[in-house]
Amino acid sequence: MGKVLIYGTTVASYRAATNFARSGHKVIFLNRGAFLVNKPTQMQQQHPRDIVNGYVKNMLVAVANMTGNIEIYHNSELLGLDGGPGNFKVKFRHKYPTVNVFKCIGCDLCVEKCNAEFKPIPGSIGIYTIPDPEGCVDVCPAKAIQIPKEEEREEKVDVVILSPEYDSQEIDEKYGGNLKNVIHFAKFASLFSGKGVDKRFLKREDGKAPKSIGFFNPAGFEGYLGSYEEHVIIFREAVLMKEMDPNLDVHIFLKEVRLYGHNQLFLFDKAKEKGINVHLIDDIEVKEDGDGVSVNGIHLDLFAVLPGQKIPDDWKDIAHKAGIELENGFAKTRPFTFETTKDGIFAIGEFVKPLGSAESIYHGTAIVPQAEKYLKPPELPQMPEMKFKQEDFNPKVGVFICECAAKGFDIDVDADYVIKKDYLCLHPEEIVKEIKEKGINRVVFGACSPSLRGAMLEMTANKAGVHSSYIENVQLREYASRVGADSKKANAMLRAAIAKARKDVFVEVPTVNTIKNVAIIGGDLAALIAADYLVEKVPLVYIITPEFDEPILATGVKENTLNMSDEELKEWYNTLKDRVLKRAKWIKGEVESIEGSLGNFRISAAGTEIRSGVIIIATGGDVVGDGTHIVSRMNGENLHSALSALYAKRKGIEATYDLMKSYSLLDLYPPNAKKGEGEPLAYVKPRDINKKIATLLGMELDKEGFFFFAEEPLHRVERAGIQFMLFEEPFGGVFVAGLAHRPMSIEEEMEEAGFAAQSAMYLMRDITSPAGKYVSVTNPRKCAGCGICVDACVTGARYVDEEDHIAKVRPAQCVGCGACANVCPSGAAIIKAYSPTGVFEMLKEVVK
Amino acid sequence: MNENEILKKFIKDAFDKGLIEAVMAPSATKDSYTYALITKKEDVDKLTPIAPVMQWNGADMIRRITRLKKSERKLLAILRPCESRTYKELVKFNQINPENIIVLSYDCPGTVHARNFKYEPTSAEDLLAEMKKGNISKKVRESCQVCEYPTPIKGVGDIGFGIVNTDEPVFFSLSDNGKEFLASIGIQEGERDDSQWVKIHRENREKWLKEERITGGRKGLEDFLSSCLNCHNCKDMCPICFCKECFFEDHSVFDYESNKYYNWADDKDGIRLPTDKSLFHIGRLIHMGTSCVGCGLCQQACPMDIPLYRLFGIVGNDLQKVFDYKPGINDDIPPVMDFREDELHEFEGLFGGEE
Amino acid sequence: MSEEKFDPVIVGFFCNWCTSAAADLAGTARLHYPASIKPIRVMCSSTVDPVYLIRALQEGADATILGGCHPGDCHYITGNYKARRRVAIVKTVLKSLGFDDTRVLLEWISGSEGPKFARVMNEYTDYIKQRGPSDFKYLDSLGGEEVE
Ligand code: SF4
Ligand code: SF4
Ligand code: SF4
Ligand code: SF4
Ligand code: SF4
Repeated sequence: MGKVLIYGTTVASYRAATNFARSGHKVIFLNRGAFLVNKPTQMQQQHPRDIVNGYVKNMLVAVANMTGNIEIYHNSELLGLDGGPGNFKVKFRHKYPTVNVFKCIGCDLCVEKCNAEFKPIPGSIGIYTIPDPEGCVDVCPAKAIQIPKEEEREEKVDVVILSPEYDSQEIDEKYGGNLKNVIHFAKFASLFSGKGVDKRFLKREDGKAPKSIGFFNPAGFEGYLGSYEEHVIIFREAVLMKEMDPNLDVHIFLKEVRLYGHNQLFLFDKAKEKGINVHLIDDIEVKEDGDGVSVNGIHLDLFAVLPGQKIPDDWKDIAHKAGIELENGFAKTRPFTFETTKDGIFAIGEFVKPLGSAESIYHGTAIVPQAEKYLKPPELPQMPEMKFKQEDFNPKVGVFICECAAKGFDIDVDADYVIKKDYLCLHPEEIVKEIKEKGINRVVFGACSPSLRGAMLEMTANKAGVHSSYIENVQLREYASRVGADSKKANAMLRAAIAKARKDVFVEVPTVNTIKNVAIIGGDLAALIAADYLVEKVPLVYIITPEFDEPILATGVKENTLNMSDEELKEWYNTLKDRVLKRAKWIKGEVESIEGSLGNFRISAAGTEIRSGVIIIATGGDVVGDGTHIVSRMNGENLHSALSALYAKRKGIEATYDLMKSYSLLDLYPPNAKKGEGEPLAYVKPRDINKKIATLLGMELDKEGFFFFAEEPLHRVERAGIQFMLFEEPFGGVFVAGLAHRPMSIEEEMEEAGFAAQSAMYLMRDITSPAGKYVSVTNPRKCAGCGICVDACVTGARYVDEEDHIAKVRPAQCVGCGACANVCPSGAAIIKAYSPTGVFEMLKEVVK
Repeated sequence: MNENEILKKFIKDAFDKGLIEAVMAPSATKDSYTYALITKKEDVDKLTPIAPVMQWNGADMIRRITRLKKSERKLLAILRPCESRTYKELVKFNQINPENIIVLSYDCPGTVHARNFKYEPTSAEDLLAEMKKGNISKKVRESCQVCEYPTPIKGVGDIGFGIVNTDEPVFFSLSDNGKEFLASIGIQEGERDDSQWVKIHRENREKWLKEERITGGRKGLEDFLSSCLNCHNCKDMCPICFCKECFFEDHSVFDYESNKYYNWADDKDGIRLPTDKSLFHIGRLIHMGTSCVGCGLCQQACPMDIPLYRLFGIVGNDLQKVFDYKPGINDDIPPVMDFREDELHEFEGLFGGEE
Repeated sequence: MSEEKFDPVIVGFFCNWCTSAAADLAGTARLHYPASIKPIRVMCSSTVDPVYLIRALQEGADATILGGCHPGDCHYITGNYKARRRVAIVKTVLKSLGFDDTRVLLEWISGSEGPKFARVMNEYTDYIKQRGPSDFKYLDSLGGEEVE
């Protein structure tokens, strides 16, 4: 088990901490804010309403609770760093907050007795701050109150990961930064925070409802640093505004449209279709104009500017203390890695370059295999094997009421046992004792939300031998006592749960034995990089390709982002290839057929039968044209390329741009073409083989022929959306990396290959259905094999078996969403934990 | 030769040419017509390809034959337009494997209610004669009078048999397979104009949709179903209700302890027994309304003569409008199997879409 | 039943990942809303069989709410789109037969929208109060107002 120190609070660092802990390493997480969400991430600074903010944090907390592998320090500051890989000594200062959120149960006593200040936070108990903690320590039943002393600490760790936060630029005066009714986009987005996107909340500072709004991002203007994400954010928001109120006059001003393809241009088209005015401008002039502003002569009541990234002042200091070099203000990393100029110190996230949050997630995942070369072998937490008895035909319902949650209620329900305790979560032993002594085999908790202490209560009942299928959770606190409900509602909710508990049936959560080999299809650079990560860790890695692509084919904006000569690149590539091919099995030929699913693929290629648990698609792409820059691709009459589009524009042709994401550093050193010299450049063309593989695997290609992978369904835009929040199973064991996915730079290939490899690693085990007790099953007696459920299943977990014409479930892929059960007309597809029998019982009680 | 004889000759020729190995078509019984499956040319004369009664939906019969495995022999199925639409719809639902099947459909004069037929037999020829005069016979079922597609449609089935508006019936192809089939059998494709026949049905339908709608919510529905026996016959005969076991017959869900009945009776000031009658019909609408093909068999099946097609057809029509879906007439995916990202905003929020 | 006294019962099926989380947030933030709302936590808005909505109304609910994630934000990627189709079917059937289809409400409420959750609950309860008790619960019974 290795030990990793992560410094900084970014989407990448959250994800990295989560991933190291899941992989079986210890993590010291130095949060630079007073509490977890106190220091805003890039996402929060750019788009505070995005749900990703909550998800990354919740996932970190959940994994911290689950594995016990993450230690978090708040208000921390890096002081110094000594030693090298395997034995870094890191000195830091930190300060305890007045309340330890991991212990706090949200009982509110400190609010009542010590005037604690309270701030609700989505997905958590909220943050309590105690003005005088000394006098309040004894008030807290959970012993969560602590004296906020400052402390210096030294930790010995194997690897250090630096991921200090992004800083947003101020709005420049040129863009109206000093004017009234010109606001930062984040502030604009916050108008609807928590309240929902609703006309009523669109108000300026002076309380007036704007009739016209403009959005602007200064990409392409002097001094701008940013990625494509700002543009995605702006377009989505503009479309949302127009959908909210079609009468609103909405404008977007941009010098460059950084929508890189994969349907991001769909946003552009959609904006136009909805009647949004998109102005492609060469220059901008923002002036005060009556009761609003005028932007290039257009009157707007409100003008929201999403500026780019600023390099924070403290990065120099951090680099100095860590002894690493910066370049252009960003952490300098060695080619193809996140490793800085000092061994064992890595940099990820916005510390490396301007990037979107989807890439942050890639960073936070791809870092694991890179750092592991310095880490001792992981120790995976042993999940206790739980054995459950099935003699529960005679329900004996025990209702446990937490007085903290049921405050003020007169609980009157009919069950075998009704047991009341002051704070259920503080007395797990007593719950276990009661269950065992009384022979309770159905448990109803009247307590708080499963996302707060409810999950822990469920585990307590598990410990007493009650299977999760027999446990119901009633959120008396969040759904009743804290929202002004009466005893009637509380009792109705409890009775419903009791009725359902009586009908609950045992659900065995299936585990699927998987084949622990990985098959990589294609000879892209990404194939070699992914294989390189995997060869040491999995028994066998297959690479199926007739040949390998030379790196130049896979190179992005080579001369700008790689500090390497062509010879060095070639040498690096040859070493990589040799190293990989020594261990991996190269199947020289094309894929002929693919059968099976996650955990159990059967691939035939070049006359060989291959069995693997996971497939990585890295078929690469072809570069058309002879430039050294792979910028993008063209599509019909539109020039979908940043640079060619610039040309087009100069010639007076209206154009949209479709550029690769690694555009980011081009802000610092624009390539010749952008400066107006040279000719339009090469673009990447997807390969024909993609079609065949997509058909074999039932995957989708975009209109140009690249694979969709991890694109969110709404407009198929890649974004750090939900798809990254789920664990790996729902990808169905198929990952896409490199030019098969989209045009990208060599570093992005490294990131995606790392993401794919690490995700594959997580699947190299026998897979218990991620759905848990919500796993879907089919009742073969009822199933007509109509396949409606198959179409409804988002993860491809369902299929109609050709042999008996009955729908079957692949439990490793089922995530328990229940869509299949909903659509199945005859009730053949069911989620046993949520069967109509139980639900009908609940409904009866709940409406009484 | 009348139409039935022409078709029989057509079938025999097809047998002779080795184009088919089996036929499914109606055959007369004492009081009605059944579907029959034959495999020999000698048996062709036992068939009445165009029958005056539709006791079952033919597509439902093909479903039985091919649900598990594709048809092992080359089968020619003679289906009415509503049946061939059902056929197409059932293919989408994985209930019919269309491989090895040729569907022939014809300009439909309508069918007589099976019970009426039993007591007052009519011949197909009578109905056909009426059709050729351009009239919809008063004897045919309500659903036939308001049928939206009473003639074969391109892409639905393989071969069309045109009867209206032509001196001699014509064959024409509806699909590539059909084209090939007709060519192999040596039949010249013909034409006829069916627009008038379609038009009068559509006019009836428009009127019907307006006038026969069940309104008034609870009272309207209760009254409409007041004589319903809850026998579920309508569902059994409905080809779209292809479930092996209907959800509304699941005893683990719909069996209650006595107290539940008493509680209901307490709360609702008395309940009607058996319970869940309206839930069954509303539930059925939710399950299959989007795919109701308008065969009207539910109505024919009802022992209590409840004009059920007014329920399923009209609500189904509303549902299909919402999704811009017409069951069985093209390759669109049934609404229950599909979704779009940007649609149906009028169903979001209280006042539809905009907040 | 006079209008003031009418205390509706509204069954809410709330997605575990968004609307339930918003309800949690409303709870931790102590935002009050009427006790009429009876929440049922489901894994995803697409878990809710339309028959459940009908059943809730038939069992005695005056209205039902289905709460899911905003389009594009579904934890199960496309669950909310499927749920929207089901709701469209239920509402169309109800409306088509002359029932009050506003008694089925579909709302997108994300996990951070605690205040929106409370607002929607308040507004919808007010709305249902104005509408009065639902007649649907008396379907197939001898009770209710209009009995011959
Ligand atoms: S929807 Fe139901 S009946 Fe149809 S295939 Fe799936 S489980 Fe079987
Ligand atoms: S649709 Fe059904 S089978 Fe598919 S993931 Fe959801 S619950 Fe599982
Ligand atoms: S509901 Fe009636 S008319 Fe519609 S398909 Fe079924 S049986 Fe035919
Ligand atoms: S009503 Fe629904 S469950 Fe019953 S047979 Fe028809 S489709 Fe199947
Ligand atoms: S066939 Fe008629 S009586 Fe039987 S359930 Fe249907 S409507 Fe009721």
